[in-house]
Amino acid sequence: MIRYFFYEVKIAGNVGGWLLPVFFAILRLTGVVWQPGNPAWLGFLEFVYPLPFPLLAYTILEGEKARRTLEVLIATPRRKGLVFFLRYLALTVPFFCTLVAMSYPGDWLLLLAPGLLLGGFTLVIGLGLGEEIGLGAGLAWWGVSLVFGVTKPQLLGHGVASWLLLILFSSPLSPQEVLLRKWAHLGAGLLLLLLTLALTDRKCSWKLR
Amino acid sequence: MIKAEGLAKHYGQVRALRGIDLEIRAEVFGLLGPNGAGKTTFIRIIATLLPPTSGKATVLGYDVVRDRIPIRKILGYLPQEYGAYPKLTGREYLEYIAILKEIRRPKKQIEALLSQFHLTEVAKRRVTSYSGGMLRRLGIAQALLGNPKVLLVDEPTGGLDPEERVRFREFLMGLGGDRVVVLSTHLVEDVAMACERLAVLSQGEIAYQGTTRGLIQLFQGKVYEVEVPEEEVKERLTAWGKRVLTTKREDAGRTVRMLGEIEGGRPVTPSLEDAYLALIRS
Repeated sequence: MIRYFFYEVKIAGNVGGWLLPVFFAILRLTGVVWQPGNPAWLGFLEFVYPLPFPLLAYTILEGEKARRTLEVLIATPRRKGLVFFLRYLALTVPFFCTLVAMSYPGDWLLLLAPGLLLGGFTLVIGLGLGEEIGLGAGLAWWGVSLVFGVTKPQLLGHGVASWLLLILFSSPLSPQEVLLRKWAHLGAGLLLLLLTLALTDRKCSWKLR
Repeated sequence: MIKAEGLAKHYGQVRALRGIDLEIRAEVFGLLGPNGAGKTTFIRIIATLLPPTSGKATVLGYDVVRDRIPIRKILGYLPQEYGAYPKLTGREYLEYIAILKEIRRPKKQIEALLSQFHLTEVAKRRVTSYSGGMLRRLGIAQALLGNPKVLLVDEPTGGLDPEERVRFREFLMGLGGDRVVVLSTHLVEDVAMACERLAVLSQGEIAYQGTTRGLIQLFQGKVYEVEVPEEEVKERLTAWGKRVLTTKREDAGRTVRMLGEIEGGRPVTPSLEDAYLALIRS
């Protein structure tokens, strides 16, 4: 299993992706640049951190479309959906390490939930309608969340908007209410990843440009 | 044995397969047909990638819809559009596939396959540096990992230069034995060289099923050859239309092979290509 995961990391991974956690780990270990629990820093991270996830989802979809590597796996007992899922996880490992390096465990949910949700959303739309539409939809969701978070934070205090928009640092919600929404985002993100698994199992052709 | 009974696949209004009945024994079996005839759809159904719309297919007694996992365990598959992982070397790629196929201690087998397909010298190189032929050979090597009882090879020589194509066909010839090998291709030379039995697919239906010799025999005495001067080529070919099978450029014109008798022509023994084209056109 370890050897298998090593291969998935090698297939999906990028050495450049590891520069980020190393960079943040150095900054944190030196302790001179910032404090991970600073609210302003967390607010900044909440809108920056989820952004790579749609891009990672796009990368893996684009790579698969170009090379059709999963079709070969039909001749193995492994589900190709599961292989794709693990490959996506392998691709995101440096970003989970970045999260560990740049924030306290209590804040991981705040940052991780919107990332997983956006990544899962991009994968599902990308598998169904095309990887570029998936990326566009993921980035649009992130952009709308950012715009509302900055310009109309009062909207995030109630109703559907508080559940649908991802960036809540400026909302008038109580910490418990924010936490509840983040758990919901995390759950939805994981559900979308499971849906990705099923979709990849069924997918056997890609629309060409 | 692979057995298909009334196998059909529809994509909306498009009928890719229209009720196919086919039996393939332990042999190298050719599935020949023009592009869009339904070959890849058939292969994908057998590989359990696609469910059929109707009909039934079994692979060594396993049903392609109900018994997908048992089939996948005995299957080797080289798809038409095959891509390996650019960050892996040839040897690493085979090891990765061996892990997925749950093969214990695969090293010996990997080395044997690398040697069989003349890849040992480049095994340490990343697959991005491989030529099209090397990639195809790596593809067939991964398909043979685990010594599968059924091997499906879809358009394996497409995009290869003539030398690589000949080499690849030689590899295919040696793959039969007690294994079911299905070679799907639109190139008659592939089948002529590697297969004794074949099925010709046309517009989703089986146009012929039997031996290559039997197909040639069907058109024995029906193929004629005629010399046509260069200045008359355009006019004559237009007039003869679909009866023209092949043309070959000569010094003073062309040698044309045709289906049916023609004035000034002489009957010739048809090649497999002549017979195939005659079948498709008739």
